[in-house]
Amino acid sequence: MREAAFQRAIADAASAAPHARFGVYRNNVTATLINALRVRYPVAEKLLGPLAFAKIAKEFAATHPPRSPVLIDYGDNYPDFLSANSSLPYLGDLARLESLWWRAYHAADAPPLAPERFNLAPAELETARFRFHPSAAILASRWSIGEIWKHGRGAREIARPETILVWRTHADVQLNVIEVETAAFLTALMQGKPIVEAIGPGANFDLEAQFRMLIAAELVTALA
Amino acid sequence: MESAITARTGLGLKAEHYRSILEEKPDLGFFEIHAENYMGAGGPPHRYLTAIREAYPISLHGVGLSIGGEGPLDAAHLARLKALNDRYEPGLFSEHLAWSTHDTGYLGDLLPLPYTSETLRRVCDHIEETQNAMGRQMLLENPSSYLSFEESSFGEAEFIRETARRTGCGLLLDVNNVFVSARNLGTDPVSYIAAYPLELVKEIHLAGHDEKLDEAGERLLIDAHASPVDDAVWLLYGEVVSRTGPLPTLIERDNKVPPLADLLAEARRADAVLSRTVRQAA
Repeated sequence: MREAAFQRAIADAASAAPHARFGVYRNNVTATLINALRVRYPVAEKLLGPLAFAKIAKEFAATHPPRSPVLIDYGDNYPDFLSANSSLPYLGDLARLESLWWRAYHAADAPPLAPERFNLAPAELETARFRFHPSAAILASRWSIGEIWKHGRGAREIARPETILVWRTHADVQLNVIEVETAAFLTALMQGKPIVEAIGPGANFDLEAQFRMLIAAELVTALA
Repeated sequence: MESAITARTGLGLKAEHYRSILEEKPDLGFFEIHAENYMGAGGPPHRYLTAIREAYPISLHGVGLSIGGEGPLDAAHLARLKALNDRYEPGLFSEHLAWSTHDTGYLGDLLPLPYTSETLRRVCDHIEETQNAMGRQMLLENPSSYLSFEESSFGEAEFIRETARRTGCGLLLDVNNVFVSARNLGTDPVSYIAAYPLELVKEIHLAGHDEKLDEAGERLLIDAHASPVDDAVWLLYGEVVSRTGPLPTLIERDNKVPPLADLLAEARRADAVLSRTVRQAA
């Protein structure tokens, strides 16, 4: 075996194997990447079945080689690929949810804001902004992805819109289905809007209840 | 906990075992981590590793630096390794005699290189750069081979000996890799050990291999880390430590990971070999 031929064959997954043993290396490369996707998207694998999942993952691995040896970050764009390569209409959003779960799992640590810091005077509410835990994200879907994430193929009422809050407390990653009003409030806060502006025009908004939720969930890490 | 790793048996740290380890605190010399699995910013992996580090020494084992690569080392990756080294104060740090990055990115496997004066220079430059950046000695691990290159002008053991002489790196001897490579290349593992600079070995790896057929229908051993250590590899391990004396020894299992108790049983077997070696030396 010549080195140049080996390198060419590794770089081009579609090329002919230059050696009877070459397939071991090519298989290892593919297996490593498929495994990284399986670990990150376990519910998608369950929904598709291991063979169908591996088939799509193999195509993705061949066309989307990782840029970095840190495979924790591999497959950020896999949900789009899954969505384009499967007939399950909710699979893309379900995988987006799994991707957020994974990012939340590995996100930086940050201690929560002390509860007494939420005692803000009306004037402070006009300008104060919350900084959220690095793990926090919101995903809105036309499908009941929280239900599907929990129950897989046993999920009911699949065609029901759901908005999910993903974040990590000290203990572990949390997924909560949230109301539309809460989602709008949190999204505005996460975008860096001052609290009063995030509340919006709704007349019956219960700010105290929202603050209790933020404190209990350890979602906020700083006031700015 | 002290960072120094003594001549006892350790296990590869798997996320599946985090809780059992902290609850049971098994009697082990150390845990080894794959550096890349701890390059996330935070969260449970670091929380568990911090707790485990309080009870055990840690060995830091990189799989993505591409020491044998043609291009320059990835400075950002080296900085990530350095950060882990500073944070967890591992007793040993090792990487592979292999390449894994290319112009197109990371290839996800430990790929082989020919052993020539050119690759020797390249490997030595990369090890020196790594040791300088990390501020410590690196151990170089011998690869598992499935084929050999026509260009090679050194034997592997000779290449490794010369690399260590030029760079001052230490060695991680993977006994399963020696066995797998010898079988696949039709050479003799005992001759390999005889040519290998055993005096520079600071750590040993033991793992299971799988057997398959290659595309020509020939039997082939794969360094799969998916099964218990093979009896022939245990024999070769006994042969090695009878010459080196006891060394930190890692049982590796990265696929089809069984319950912790199964791996502890294998660790006990390695411990028994190590304590027999101590008695023989006494």
